[in-house]
Amino acid sequence: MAVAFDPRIANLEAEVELLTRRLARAERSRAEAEALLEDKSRVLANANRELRANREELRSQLDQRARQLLDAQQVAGFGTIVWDVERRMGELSAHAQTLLGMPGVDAFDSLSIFDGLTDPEDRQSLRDYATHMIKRAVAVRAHGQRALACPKGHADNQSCSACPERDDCGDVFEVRINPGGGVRRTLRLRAQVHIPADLGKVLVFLTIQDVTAELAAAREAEELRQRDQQRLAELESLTHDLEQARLAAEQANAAKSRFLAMMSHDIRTPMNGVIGMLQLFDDAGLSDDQRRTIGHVRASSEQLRILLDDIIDLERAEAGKLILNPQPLNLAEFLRDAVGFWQKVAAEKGLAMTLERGVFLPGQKLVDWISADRYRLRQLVDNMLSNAIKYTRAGSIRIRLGMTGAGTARYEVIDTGIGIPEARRRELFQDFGQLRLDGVGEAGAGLGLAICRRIVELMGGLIGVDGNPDGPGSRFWVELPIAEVPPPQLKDLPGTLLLACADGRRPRILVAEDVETNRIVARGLLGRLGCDVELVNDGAAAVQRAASGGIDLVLMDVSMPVMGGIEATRQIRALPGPEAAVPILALSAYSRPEDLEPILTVGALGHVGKPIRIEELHGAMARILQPAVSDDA
Amino acid sequence: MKGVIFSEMIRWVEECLSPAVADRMIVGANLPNEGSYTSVGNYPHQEALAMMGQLTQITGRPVHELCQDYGYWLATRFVELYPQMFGGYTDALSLLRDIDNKHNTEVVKLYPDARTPAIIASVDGEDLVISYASHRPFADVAFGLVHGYIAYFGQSDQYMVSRDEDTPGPHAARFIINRA
Repeated sequence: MAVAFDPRIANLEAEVELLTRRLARAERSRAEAEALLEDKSRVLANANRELRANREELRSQLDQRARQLLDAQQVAGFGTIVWDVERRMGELSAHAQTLLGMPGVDAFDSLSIFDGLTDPEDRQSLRDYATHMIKRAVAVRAHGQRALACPKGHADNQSCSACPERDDCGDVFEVRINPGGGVRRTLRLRAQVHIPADLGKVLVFLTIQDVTAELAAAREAEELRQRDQQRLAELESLTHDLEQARLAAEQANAAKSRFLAMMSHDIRTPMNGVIGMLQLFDDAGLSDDQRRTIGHVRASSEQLRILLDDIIDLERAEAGKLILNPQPLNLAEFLRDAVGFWQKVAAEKGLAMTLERGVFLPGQKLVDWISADRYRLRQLVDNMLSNAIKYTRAGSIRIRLGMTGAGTARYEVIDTGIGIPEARRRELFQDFGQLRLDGVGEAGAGLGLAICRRIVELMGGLIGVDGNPDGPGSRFWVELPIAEVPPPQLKDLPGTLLLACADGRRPRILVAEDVETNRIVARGLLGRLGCDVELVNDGAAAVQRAASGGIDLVLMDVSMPVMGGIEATRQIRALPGPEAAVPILALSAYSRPEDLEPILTVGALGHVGKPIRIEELHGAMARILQPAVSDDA
Repeated sequence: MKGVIFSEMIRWVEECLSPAVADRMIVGANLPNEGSYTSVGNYPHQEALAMMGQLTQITGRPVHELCQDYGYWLATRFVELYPQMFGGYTDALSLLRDIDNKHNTEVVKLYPDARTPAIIASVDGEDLVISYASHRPFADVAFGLVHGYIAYFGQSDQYMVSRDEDTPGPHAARFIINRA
C-alpha cells in the first residue's frame, strides 16, 4: 500500500530524526563523560595514595625528630614540660621525669602532683610562678595577640627566632625539690608561652635544668674568691708593714752614716791642724828618742786622718755621691810620693818595705802617664799600705806592681803579718765590717778595705786577698784597667793676654797645688799671662807663704793633702794684717754650686775649673786684678 | 577549550533558538564527534568557531552579535553551574574586580595545562577597567558575559559598560564599566 505524502508525517519524521540524533548525541556525551570520570578517578586515587604516603613519611620524620630532641634533652640535661592551656594537660619528657624522680609519669592535669616533691619553702612561690605563666598564656589566647607571649613583644615566631636574647628568653624560677632517696636538687625552670604557627593552640613550654652542681660550684667559687681577697689584703698589709720597716731601717742607716760623716768632718779640722803642725815640725835638733816619738805621732796622726777620710768617703759612696775625677797622672812620680811616705813609716816600726816593678809580665814596661783620679788612687794605696804596717809585727812588706796584660795592671801588697783565716776574708771588704784578730791588739773599725773596695769598683777593677805564698802573712791584690795617655801638653795660645796689677806691676801669683803636673801647667799658663809664679804643695805652705805678704793673688787647689784649700783659705782670712785680704781663686775640677760653696763661703772670690783653660784663667784673674777693665768676650 | 563552552553553546541554541536550528548547526559544522560534547572534556576551539559560522549562516546575524548574546546567556549558566565561585557577591563590580583571580585560578587548579585568557581588572578613578586578551577570538563572548553578570545582579541600570574602540577584537578588548 502506497503511503500518500502527508506533510505532518514528514515533519514528524524529521522531528523524530532530529530527536534521535539528539539522543545519540546525549548518549555519546554521557559515555565520554563517564570515561573521563574514570580517568579522573584514577588520577585522584593516585594522588590520594601519594598524599597518604607523604603523610606517613612526614609523621615518621616528626617522630624521629621528637626522639632526637628527647635524646638531646637528656644529653644537655634538659627536661621539658608542655602544658596545654585549653585542655589543661601537661606532658613530661622522659628526662623531665628523671629529673623530677617521677619515672613513667608522662602526663598530669594538676600541679598538686608536684607538691610532695617540692621543698616546703618553695611550694607557694612555685604555685605563684605557675599561676603567673598560665595567666599570661590565657591572656594571649583571649586576645589572640601573640605579642603578649613574648617579653619583647614580638608578634611572630620569626622575630622570636631572630631575637639575640632568644636563648635567655622566658621567665626563670629556681625551685628546690626532694625527688626521693635522700636526694636534694635545685631545678631551674624556664617558661615561655608558645603558639605553634598552625595549631592555634596556646602552650606553656617549660625547660627544666638541674643546677644543683652549678650552684654549689658557684658558691664554692665565691667562698674561694673571698678567701683569696682576704689573703690578698693580709699580704698587702704585711707588705706595707715590711716596707715601712725597711724604710725606717734605711733611714736609720742613712742617719747613722750622716752622723758619722758629720762627726768625722768636725774631727778632721783639728786633725788637719795636728798633721799640719807635724809637717812643719823641724826635727833637726831632736834626739833619737825624740825623733822616734815624733815618728810615732806622725804615723798615728796619718792613720787617724785616713780613718776620718774613709768614714766620710764611705758615707758618700753609700749615698752614691763618690765620683772619680780622672786626670793625667805620672805613675813614677805618684809611686815615689806614695810609697816613699809609707816606707818612712814602716822603717820607724822596723819593717822593710820594698817596691818591685814590672814583675808580672817580664818585658812589659809600666806605662808612664795614665788617666786616674790621683786622690782616690792615693787613698787606695794609703789604705793598703797602712793596713800592712798595722798588722805586721815584724818582717817585711813587699809591694809588687806590673802589667798583667794590655790595659790591666796588678798591684800586690804582701806582708809577713799574722795572716787572715780563709773564712774571714770575705768580711774584710764589707762596709763597717770588723776584724778582731787575737794577738794583734790593734783593732780598727776596718773601714780601710771597705773604702778600697768602693774605689776599686768605681775604677772598674777587682780587689782581693789570699795568703802570702812564701810564708805567714797575707797578700792583698788589686787589678785595675789602666790606659796610657800622652803626657799633658800646654795648648798653643792665640796671641798674648798679658795681665797686670792695677798699678801696672807684674802680678805675683801663689799657686797651691799638690799635683806636679798641674803645677807645671799653672806655671806655664801664668807665665804666658805675664805673671810671676810661686808654687807650694799644700794648704799649710800656702798659708805660711801668704802670711809673709807680697802676693797679689792665690790660686788655691781645693783638694790637697795635709791641709786642703778650704781650710787654707779660712786660715788666710783669719790672718792678722792686710795679708788676710789677698784675693783667692779656687782651683777645682768640681763646678757644681754645692761643691764650690764651702770654699766660697770661707772667702774665695771665685773659681777656675780644672783642667785649666787659659781664657777662663785670664778672665777670672783680670776681673780681680783690674776691676775697672772688662774682659774680652 | 573547556567542554562547557561547547555544550552550553548547543544548549543555548536549543533553548533560545530551536532544537532544529541546533541540529542544523551541528550537522552543518561537520564536527568530528558530531556534537557530543561533555562539559568536563577539552576540545579544539575551532569547532566552536565552526558552529558559530554555521549559526551565522542559518540566522543571518553577524558573528559578533551572536557571541555577545551567547555570553550574556552564559553568565547566568555559570552562576548556576559554579555557585561556589559566585557565592558571597552582592555587587557586579566586586565580582568583576575579582574575576581574573577567581576565574583563572579555579580553572588552572583543575586543569593545570589550561590556556586561559588574560583578564586584568583595574580601577581607574571611578571606572573599573577590564582588559581581555586571548589566543582565541572570543572577546565578544566576554563582552556578553560582563553584561550578563551585571544583569544577574539586577544592576543593569546602575552600571554602564562601554568598549574601548582602540582595542580591536576579537582577541583583545577593553571594557570600561562605570556607574550610570
